[in-house]
Amino acid sequence: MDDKLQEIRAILEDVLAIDASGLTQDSSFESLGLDSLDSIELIVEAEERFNVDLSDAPALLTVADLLDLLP
Amino acid sequence: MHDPTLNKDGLITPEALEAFKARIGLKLRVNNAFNDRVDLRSVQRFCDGIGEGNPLFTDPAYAAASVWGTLIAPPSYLMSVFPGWILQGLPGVHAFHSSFDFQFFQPLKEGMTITPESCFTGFHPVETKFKGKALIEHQTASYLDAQGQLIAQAKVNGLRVERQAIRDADHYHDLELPHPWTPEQLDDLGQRILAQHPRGSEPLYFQDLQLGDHLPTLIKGPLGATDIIAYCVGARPVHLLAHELALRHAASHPSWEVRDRDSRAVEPIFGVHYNLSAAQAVGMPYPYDIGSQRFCWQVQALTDWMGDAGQLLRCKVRFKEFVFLSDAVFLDGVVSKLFVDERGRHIARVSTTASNQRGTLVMDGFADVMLPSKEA
Repeated sequence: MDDKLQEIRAILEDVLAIDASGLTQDSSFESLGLDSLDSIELIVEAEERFNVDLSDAPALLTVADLLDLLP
Repeated sequence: MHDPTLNKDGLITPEALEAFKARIGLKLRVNNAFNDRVDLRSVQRFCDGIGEGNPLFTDPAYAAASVWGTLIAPPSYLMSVFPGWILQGLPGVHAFHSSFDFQFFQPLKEGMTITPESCFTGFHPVETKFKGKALIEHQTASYLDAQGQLIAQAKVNGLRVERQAIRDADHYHDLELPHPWTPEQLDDLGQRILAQHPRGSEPLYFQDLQLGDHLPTLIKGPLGATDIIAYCVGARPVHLLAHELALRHAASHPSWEVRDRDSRAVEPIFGVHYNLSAAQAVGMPYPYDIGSQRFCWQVQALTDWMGDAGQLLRCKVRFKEFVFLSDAVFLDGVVSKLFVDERGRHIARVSTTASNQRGTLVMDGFADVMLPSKEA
């Protein structure tokens, strides 16, 4: 789980230029300032890095929601 | 206002989505490529089209004496090679630029040949301010040199929206367009624009920067029809057709054409950028700028600031609002991170914003700029 969380941090920093050093599983995407396009970019990058299809994923509210969908 | 007989709208139906999904992974035919080489005349024409007067890009003698030793093109020149985006699938469903994330791997030196490639990589549904269905479409644009090496690569997002949803939302009904500039405001704007200039040959060193440093504001506007035409001449973002060729195209692509209410001429839906009938046909109150054109302005704001010795490594922009004809755009930036990467490159990250004269944020993003270092 720590590796996946670290990868999510890396995506937020690489793709969205967000300082994610304080990111936890409980962090909400809203608290990170992500809008709908940011969330989609996060999902697209996660699909690529984790080789998973999230196109039918439900709305993601927290980092934990995303982590639950990753292999 | 809108005569529905003028054009043919498309809908995002389950069947249309299935057909669209089947296209994921397709290497797209790049049918809107234009310049394929870095040469003086093409670069000058492109620079004319975006209002770029930096002699590093337009004056061979100046460029030869620069740190590059030869003419180079601004990184945004790639938009004239291929604007990064291909309109494909979902006929009659309107498309807007949503974001560009460009990474530049090589400077564009005179004599280089550039071959573009494009791939449709997927889409995701999205909620927007418009009523009805919408989705974000993802494409990847690659630019290759003669040896097949990457010059640059971009992740491009486009927003696909049903035109009726845009019309129903009527989101911009309270905007006064064209903008009611006073003569004094226009005079002030003009003076500020004429005072703009690139940094030039004086190096901007990495060590001279501090977090929070502001970039000089670059102003474009008020945006006029000629600004759009000049961009089309210099960058040719789409393949425009005239007379019988336009009529033949309209017959085979009815979703992408509109008949002007006044002139009764056939106009491409691309005319949303300069033609009121076309803009209103897709639910917009007034013609608006071209996304790739606005990206070029952002790159100019960065190259003006970083000086001749700087090198743009990455530029990401997100289009937040429309820039209508008569609007002015103020492009700003703040140094938000200073770091040395694993290759020993000294890099300044800049958080970028662009706002209009109403104070509305129309674009934001960030950029990574490699700068010379005072350390050996």
